[in-house]
Amino acid sequence: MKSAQNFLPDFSHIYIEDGAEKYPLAKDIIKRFPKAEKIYIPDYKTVFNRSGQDFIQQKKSMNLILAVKKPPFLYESTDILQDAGFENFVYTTPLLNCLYNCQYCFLQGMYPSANLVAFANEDDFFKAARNAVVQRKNKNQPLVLSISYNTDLLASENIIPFCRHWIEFASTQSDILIEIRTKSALFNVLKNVKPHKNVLLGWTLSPQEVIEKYEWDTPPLDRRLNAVRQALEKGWKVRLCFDPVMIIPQWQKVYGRFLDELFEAIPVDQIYDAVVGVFRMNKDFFQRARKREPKVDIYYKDYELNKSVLSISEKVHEEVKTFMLEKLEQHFSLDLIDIW
Amino acid sequence: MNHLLIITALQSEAEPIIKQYQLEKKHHSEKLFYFQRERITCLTTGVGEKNVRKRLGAFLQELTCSNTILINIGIAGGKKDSSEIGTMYLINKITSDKSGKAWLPDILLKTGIPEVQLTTVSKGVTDGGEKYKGLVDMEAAVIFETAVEFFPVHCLVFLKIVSDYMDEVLDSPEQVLPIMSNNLSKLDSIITLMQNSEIVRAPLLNEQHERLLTDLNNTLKLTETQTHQLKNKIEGYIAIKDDDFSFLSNYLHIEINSKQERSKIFYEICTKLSS
Repeated sequence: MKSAQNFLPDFSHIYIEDGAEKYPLAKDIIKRFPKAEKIYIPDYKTVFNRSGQDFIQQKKSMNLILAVKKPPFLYESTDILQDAGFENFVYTTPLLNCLYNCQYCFLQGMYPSANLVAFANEDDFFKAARNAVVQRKNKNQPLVLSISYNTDLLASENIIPFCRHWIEFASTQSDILIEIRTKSALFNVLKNVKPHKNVLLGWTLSPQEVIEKYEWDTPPLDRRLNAVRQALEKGWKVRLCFDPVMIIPQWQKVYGRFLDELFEAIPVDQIYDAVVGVFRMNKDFFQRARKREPKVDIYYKDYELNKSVLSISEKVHEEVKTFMLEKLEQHFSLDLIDIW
Repeated sequence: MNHLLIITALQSEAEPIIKQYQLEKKHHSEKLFYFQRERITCLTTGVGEKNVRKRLGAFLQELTCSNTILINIGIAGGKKDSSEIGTMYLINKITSDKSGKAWLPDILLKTGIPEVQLTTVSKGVTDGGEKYKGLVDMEAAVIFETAVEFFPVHCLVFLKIVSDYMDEVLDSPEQVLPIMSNNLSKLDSIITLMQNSEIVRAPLLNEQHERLLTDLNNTLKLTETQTHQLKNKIEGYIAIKDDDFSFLSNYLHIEINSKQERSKIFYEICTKLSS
């Protein structure tokens, strides 16, 4: 959690990779931080992949790296990414790392740095997405593109307007559905953006107890719900994500109460669908994350290892599935619930 | 409080610091000495790459303080249009003129010191230094390169005071001492900031914990895997409960005579730590 006395504010330094500054997005971002120290670097990895970085300390004073992404621009789904049953599922990474600091997230152990990398060459990403639509395997389904996978794009929309640009792009395409998954309460940044059927806004929601314990630096539940309500009012497609369901003491009671209150607070009939998942993390990322922040209890529970991914036991996983399904079925038809 | 290791190239750069903090001369080896009092150590490397590699490398090999922040302070040449003689700068990028390689300190704390980049050269520059961006010195790149093997990048701090506009070689004590002395109050505020900041994180297991763990390994004759598992369990115990696991001291008086006995005791300890 940020307790950053004497630390510089986030983005006090902007590192600019050779060639990145010419892109309009980079110019726009630089303009937003007139007081930032600008440091020019030959390659973003010079900063991002430095040895001897302290992820936890950097989280208290994150910096921004502007770079030019080289191919590939899109990636196939992974074992830990939810595809909600769609066959043509890919993800992309316009931004590496996240403003938030969720302790259960694979980002805790994925990268050597906590600094954010923003790729300024958006048109190359859009071109790759257009090609992927044409080349998708199942032509009866759209290309489903997760754009907020290694980050929370909406949370950083005030700094880097990726969401707006991707929504504008998706609105001009056919056979594409982009998912923007978020914990942000910053819906206002999209208030002037027209909702489009090709865009799905997915809010990750957790009981306030879980938010306080594990989802560091994220908005509280009531503010997220407010954002969900605003999005629905504007006519956006909204997905609810209960991912991960955390196994805390009396988790059924905590999640039961949370879901009951949640479905009182939002018009459930307007929700597009719901996804449920449990804690899972690549084994190597897990070990690195534990080394970085050894005081978090997540890293000392008993997990099962399957194909290099650590997760809760199959028995508890089944209990979560049964419990969540029973709760969600009261509000959603089965085909709208995806349980991982 | 964090330990500060102050590195200078010239003895005249170190003198005002030694005086200010009343540091005492100590010997690292027959030929290598340094100055120290409490949580401040000052080492003078000599000028240039070769001296730094030899002296700093040898010194860091035997440095045992885990919560050390290294500060390199010294004079540097500056540009007339973008720097001021006598002003202290915080370095945010160091380029080796020889190799072209760039080194990037992680600046996380508010120092209030203006930032600039620096090039480390092999020979003094007296032609105005048109081709260099920012300041010019003769050690920073190799100090970074040597020290990054021992410290995280955010614990490497480079402070340079502009002594000239790259139009003369300025290194006599009469010239250097007043430049350094005039910046001592600024240096002092940085030292206070660095010493008291939370920038160096304490490891989960402190020295006492580590000692108990070692004693347990020795007494119980644990295997390598068991040692690893025990450490893991102890870390978990501290993370989730608290840092008092002194009850384990009771096991230091047990005599182990067989593998079965060892396994039984090991299982018992693990159960207690997991409960």
